[in-house]
Amino acid sequence: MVLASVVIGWLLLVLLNVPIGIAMIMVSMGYFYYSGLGLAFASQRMVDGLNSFPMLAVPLFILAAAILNSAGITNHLFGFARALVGRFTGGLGHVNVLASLFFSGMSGSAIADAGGLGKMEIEAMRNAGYDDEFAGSVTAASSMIGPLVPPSITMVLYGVISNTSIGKLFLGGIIPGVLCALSLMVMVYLIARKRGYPRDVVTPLPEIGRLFIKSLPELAPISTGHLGLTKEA
Amino acid sequence: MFGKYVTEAVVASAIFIVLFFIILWQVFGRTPILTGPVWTEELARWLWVWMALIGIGAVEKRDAHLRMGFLTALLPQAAQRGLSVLTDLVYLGLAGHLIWIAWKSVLRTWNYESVSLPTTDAVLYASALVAMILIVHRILRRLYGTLAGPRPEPES
Repeated sequence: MVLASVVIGWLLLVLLNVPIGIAMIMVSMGYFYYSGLGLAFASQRMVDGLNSFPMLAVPLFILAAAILNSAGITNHLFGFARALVGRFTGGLGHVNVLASLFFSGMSGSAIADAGGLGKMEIEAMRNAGYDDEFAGSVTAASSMIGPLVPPSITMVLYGVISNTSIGKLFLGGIIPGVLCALSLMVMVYLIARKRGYPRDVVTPLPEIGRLFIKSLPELAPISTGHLGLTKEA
Repeated sequence: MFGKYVTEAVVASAIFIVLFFIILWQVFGRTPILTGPVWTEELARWLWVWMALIGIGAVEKRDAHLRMGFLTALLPQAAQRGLSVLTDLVYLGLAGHLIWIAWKSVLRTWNYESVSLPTTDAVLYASALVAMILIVHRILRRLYGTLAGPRPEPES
């Protein structure tokens, strides 16, 4: 009953436009007031929750994604993905998904993916005659691969909080991430065929090889958590 | 103070730059060739806590919290403003209470020495106190802005 009240209270606050994090603080503090447990250690717990060395990987992965974006490395990834799958029906939709899969091996955050690659992907799709709704939906859906494929910020947080091996969590995320990408590509193919979306010309194999070599430095540092998370970041 | 930049964001960024070099030192110090100083790990964690908590002030200033506004967007502007003021007042009360709790935490940990740094744990727990003071400051400014802002047009 108490748990239900907490959840319903939180939902109500969120629907009333209260920021999600603040709504969590409000209901948690409300619960502690109500139950008489007191809040003497609230701020201490807040600090202790952050005071963890693996957690340092979070800002470092975000920094890595920001550096890669600023350096224009996302262009290489996009170009390589386009050469690989652009030839299929709904080519740029597939490129969108594959580039997100590549990028997820570096950033670990859906927001970094959508913010970094999204603008370029949506512009390219719009110019090629794709509907804005389709381009936006594919970009949003493919950015969700970011937290699945290692390094994943969500997994770092989960691992720290639940005392679970982050390396194992990372390894466990690879196959779901790839399956998610494949499912999205099937969906893109079906919708593209129905709506008659264009496809790119076939890229010759030597050109694909050249683009692969160009993208190799970006594709190589995929994290598994086995070297030590912060070290990898 | 920093022109178009948010003060808290500038301070958090400066901490992050120091943190970055401390982690570099720590990570390369772990290799067999070098022997990294022990204090770098603890200092890196403390800097991260300070950076994250001070950063909340910047989020408050930019009003960049994740929220779902699709339902309240349907309300009249005056109701939206009223709701925003009410939320901020409750938030202000909680943050004010957390200042008091954080202050007591600082006092409680004053005599506990840090494991590897030449200071007490109170320095770490003071981050929550400073963060809450900054948050209260930002909420008060936002409240003032909301209440002093232009009145909505009367609806026909």
